[in-house]
Amino acid sequence: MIALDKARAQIVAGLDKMWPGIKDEIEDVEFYRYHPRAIAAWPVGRSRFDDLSNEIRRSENHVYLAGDFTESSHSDGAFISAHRAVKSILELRSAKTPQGKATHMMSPLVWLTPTLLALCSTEWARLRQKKWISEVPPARFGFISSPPKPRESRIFLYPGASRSVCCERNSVLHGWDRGVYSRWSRLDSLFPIDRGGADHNCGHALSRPIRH
Amino acid sequence: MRSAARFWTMEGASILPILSDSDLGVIYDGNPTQDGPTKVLSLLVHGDAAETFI
Repeated sequence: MIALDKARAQIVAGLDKMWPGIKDEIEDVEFYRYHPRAIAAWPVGRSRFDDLSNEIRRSENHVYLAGDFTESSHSDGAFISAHRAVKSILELRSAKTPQGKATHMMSPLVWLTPTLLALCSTEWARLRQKKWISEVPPARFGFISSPPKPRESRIFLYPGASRSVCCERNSVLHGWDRGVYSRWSRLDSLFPIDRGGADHNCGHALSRPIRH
Repeated sequence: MRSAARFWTMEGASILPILSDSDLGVIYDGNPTQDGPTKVLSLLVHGDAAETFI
């Protein structure tokens, strides 16, 4: 295990490599190898395999939720969810009518996420190869740089995303009709331990967006 | 005083969160409601890069 000071120094060096000069602006760096509030939890009486959890994994209006929280509490869930969501989208895009026409037209796919490992999976590369995200420079990927288009399909990976994601930038949780889908309100139940926590920013909570 | 936010601001808007394509992993606002001069960035380091910190 490397010393925390060394870890902090590596992070600062990495930041300065990406954004030259930023090291002079950094006042402090904290490093956590583990943060309990970053982990989804199912309360007593709930399970990641129950009906409510299955609903979370179902797409709604071409919006897909993916991330560790949809399948498990750890990074394996991010990978599993990435495969699930991308597989569903690929099937949808390849579907044809009896006349051979595409059954659905979608705008370029956009991932909305501050996280996770799924982004580094083969699924991510697959999306890039298909140029569904070709308009976005890989090294400076602004997940929410463009407003959603009608019927745009998006993958949302993390319910703990900032309020700016959930509210101010017309996030996927609002969908193309700006409605927050009722199915996903059930995500709230996955994060009961966050409610009221001393270090919990309520602005990050999924329950914050106004729903229909 | 110039703000550090200039590094992650493009055309007047924050580009966060971003996938850095580096050992830094994903970089996002530590607290988007922060209005003070001191900004907090959160990094989610993952994969092989995270292994190096263990």
